[in-house]
Amino acid sequence: MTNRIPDRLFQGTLDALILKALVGGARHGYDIASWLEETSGAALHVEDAALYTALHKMEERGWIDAEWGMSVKKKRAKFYRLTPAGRRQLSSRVGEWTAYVDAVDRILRPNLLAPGGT
Amino acid sequence: MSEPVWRRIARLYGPDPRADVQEEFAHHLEERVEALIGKGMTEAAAREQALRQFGDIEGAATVCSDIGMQRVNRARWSDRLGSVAMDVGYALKAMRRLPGFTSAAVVTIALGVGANTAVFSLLHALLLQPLDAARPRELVRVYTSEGRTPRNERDLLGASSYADFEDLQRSPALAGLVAVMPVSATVRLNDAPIRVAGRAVSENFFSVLGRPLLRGGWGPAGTLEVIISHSFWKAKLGTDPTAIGRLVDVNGRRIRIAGITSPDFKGIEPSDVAVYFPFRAAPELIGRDGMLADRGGRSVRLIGRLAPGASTQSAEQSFDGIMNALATEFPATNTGRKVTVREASAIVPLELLGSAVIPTAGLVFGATVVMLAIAGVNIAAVLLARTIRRRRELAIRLSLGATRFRVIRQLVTESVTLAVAAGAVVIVLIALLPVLTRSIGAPAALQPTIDGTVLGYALAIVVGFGMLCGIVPAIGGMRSDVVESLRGGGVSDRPTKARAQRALVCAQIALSMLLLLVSGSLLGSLARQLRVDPGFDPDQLIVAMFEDPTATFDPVREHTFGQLAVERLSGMPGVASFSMTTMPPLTSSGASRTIHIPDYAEQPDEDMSIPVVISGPDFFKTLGIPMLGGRELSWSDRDTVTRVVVNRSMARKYWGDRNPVGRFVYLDGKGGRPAEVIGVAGDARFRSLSEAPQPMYAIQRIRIGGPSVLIRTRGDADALMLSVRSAMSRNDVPLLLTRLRTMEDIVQSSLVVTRAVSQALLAVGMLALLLAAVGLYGVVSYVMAGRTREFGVRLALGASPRSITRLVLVYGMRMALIGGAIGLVLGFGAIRLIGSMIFVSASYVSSASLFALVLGAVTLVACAVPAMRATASSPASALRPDS
Repeated sequence: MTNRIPDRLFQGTLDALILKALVGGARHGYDIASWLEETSGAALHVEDAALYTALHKMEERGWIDAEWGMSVKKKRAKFYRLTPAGRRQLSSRVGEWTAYVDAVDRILRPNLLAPGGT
Repeated sequence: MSEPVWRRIARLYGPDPRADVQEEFAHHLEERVEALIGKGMTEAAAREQALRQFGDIEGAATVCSDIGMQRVNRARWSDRLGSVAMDVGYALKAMRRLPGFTSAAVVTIALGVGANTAVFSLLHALLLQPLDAARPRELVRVYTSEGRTPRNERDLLGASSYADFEDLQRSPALAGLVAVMPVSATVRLNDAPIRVAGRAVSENFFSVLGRPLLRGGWGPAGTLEVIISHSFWKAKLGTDPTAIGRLVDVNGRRIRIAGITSPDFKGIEPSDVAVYFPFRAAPELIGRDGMLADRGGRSVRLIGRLAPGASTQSAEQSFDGIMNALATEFPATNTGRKVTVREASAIVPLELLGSAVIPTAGLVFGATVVMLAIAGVNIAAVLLARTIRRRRELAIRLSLGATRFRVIRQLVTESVTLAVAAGAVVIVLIALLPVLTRSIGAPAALQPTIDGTVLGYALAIVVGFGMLCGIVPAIGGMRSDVVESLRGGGVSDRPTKARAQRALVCAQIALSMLLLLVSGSLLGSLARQLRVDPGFDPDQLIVAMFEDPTATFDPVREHTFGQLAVERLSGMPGVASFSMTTMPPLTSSGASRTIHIPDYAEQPDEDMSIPVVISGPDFFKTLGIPMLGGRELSWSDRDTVTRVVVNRSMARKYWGDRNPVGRFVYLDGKGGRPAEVIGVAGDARFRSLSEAPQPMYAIQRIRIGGPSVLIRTRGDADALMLSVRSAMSRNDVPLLLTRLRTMEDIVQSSLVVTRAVSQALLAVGMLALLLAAVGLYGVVSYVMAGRTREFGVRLALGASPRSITRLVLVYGMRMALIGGAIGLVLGFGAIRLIGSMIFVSASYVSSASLFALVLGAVTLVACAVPAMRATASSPASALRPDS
């Protein structure tokens, strides 16, 4: 549990991360949580309560759809999938994020981007 | 396994977001626990770890299920609204698809509802609108009973005397009591005298009603002065700002204008009152000295305002005490008098209800109701036809689980949407109504106000109407059973019977025949009244009516007037003869006077009060009534004895075969003044053209005939009017010339109401018949279209086109016959009803046969097109599938 990213930095981007998790297809809540853990190399630790609140809010906003179905383990689970609105939302979030990271990088690590820098 | 059974059942009653969230979270925890156990944890530790990792599970559950609940509620509402919007949208689409039907229906409903609402607004102004006063609910009408022992309601609701009014004012139950008495006023502003409605009122009149004057006010008590109405000020004085203090000539006296009423005071009676006088000065104005002190007088109407907390009962009780004291003090006039207090609920007081206004308005209102019913039947018929055509679609919707209510609602929405569209047109029509009534000069107090009640009434009619003519065909059209509709090809889709539709068309024909018959019989009676021999000759006859400006009877003045008239008219070129009378024909309901006839054996309690007219010499000659025996007084007679001329009916009834000429009668009953009968004249219709001749007599005198002058002219009556006017309205004539008309004009205007009502009914009836014809056409062509295949087969088998035509015509004629027969019966009943109310019963048979012919012609036209179409059906159409 070293080097954990603080929750407050994480809050604004949680929506984007969830949307990203759904790009490959429908997933249920636990599936999304474990995908986030695995993909981030356990660096990101999302609190489940926050995950579900975000999911329901996004469903309300129409970014994702929900449907009850069967999990791989043959259990009843609620599956979420991206809607076209969600897809648009994701790409704009990614754009914002890249711009943000670029800007922050330019300030914090100017050498990294300097031409010919090592 | 899938969802537990109980949840599946619960789901039938709608989604359950709370349970969904719990299930979702439970699933998550289960997976997590499983994963942690897989990593080697004990189950208890894994469970603890999973919960910790979840965080605030209660908080998340609340937030998530709240979001879900909101969504469910929203969905429920948008579902409901959405389905109504869908119905309306569907209805609008259906209306667009049938523009002809839609505009016809909208116009029909608008006319029906508009006419109905217009009459309603008049009745509303007459009977429902409160008096034009502040806090009208507190106002009461105060009546004094007639006679010593009032026998009925009418006797209770009598007028009062001014002396009693002053005593009644003491009642503590009233915050104020006002006295009102009609005073006829002739106002001379420049030269031309104008007759206006005047009222003598107690000085508290405007303050008790809570309608302060625009300007001015009463001077010192007892001064003779006048307050003029705002509209009189505007119309006759051109809103002269210096009007107050100006002197005007009223009933021959110079009177100061003391005030002007507020512009929004419309008065408390159904007539436009122009001038108000203080009561205490009234006797001087109308020349009835001692009137204020006379407790036997009965010409003052009282309106009171209840004191806070008082009721009509407590007011009556307080009046009982006052009246009892008065009865002891003035037994001769006040014994047995009782005061009755009633709410002053509307502008038409109780004692006037049942006069001609109400039956006439009721008749017109009834006609508009019938018209509305016809419009409704017409629209219902078309909607029914459409419902039946859509039966298969409806059956499918029903079998797919739509409730019957839902399907009926869809159909009703269509007719209500139609009606609401018409409602918009109605509102425009209603908005024009005040313009119309103002242009025909209705009194201000009767101007219809378009208020909440009238609009609410129109709205209720529109919606109720829309629902009624939607529900009937919806239920009628749905009665067919679902299975049969689904199974049947063309059979149940196109029922050749169309029983409900035929019934509706019959109803339409019956209703329109009803209207036509009533209007026809009114027109018939009108025509007969125009044709009837009035007994006198209305051509070349001028009637000049005069009034005493002081509204008193002064024999000296009348004698002077008579002499002047003789002087000026006897020499006037173009005058054949002239006379004077109290009552020119057709101008009033006339007077009756008791007479004693010694030659006639009276029954013990026989009413010997017989209609009478008082006249000067040459009366019958001037009117063109033949003398059947004896003679009448002529201007050359010199003795001043009063003589009597009886008409033929009177001679026959009281003298039988004997000749009354030379016999004596006693005026005012046995012991009265004797008068000799000098002649028998032909019968004439004096009161109205519709009234059969009845016994009547004329009292003839040389000196004083009456204030109306009859002039028979040699040439055209109109040509002589000017000379008569200038000769008889000079300043030295002691009476005022108030009306100058030809007899022809009087005859015509006596028929004005009958003419207007019957023409309106005829127009409505023709419109109704047109609607019925459209309905008839619709049903016949619809039913016959369903039999195209059958006609094709018939023609193929050798039937002549003529026989097919006959078949179609017989089909249509049968409906016309049934509807017409019902209409005849209804019309007969209606005419009986109306005839007893206002008009003479009229020729029924002639108008019935006329309209039966019209109906037949209309039926032929309505069936012609379907008949032609039927004969054109080719044998090949029998083979084509029904679509």
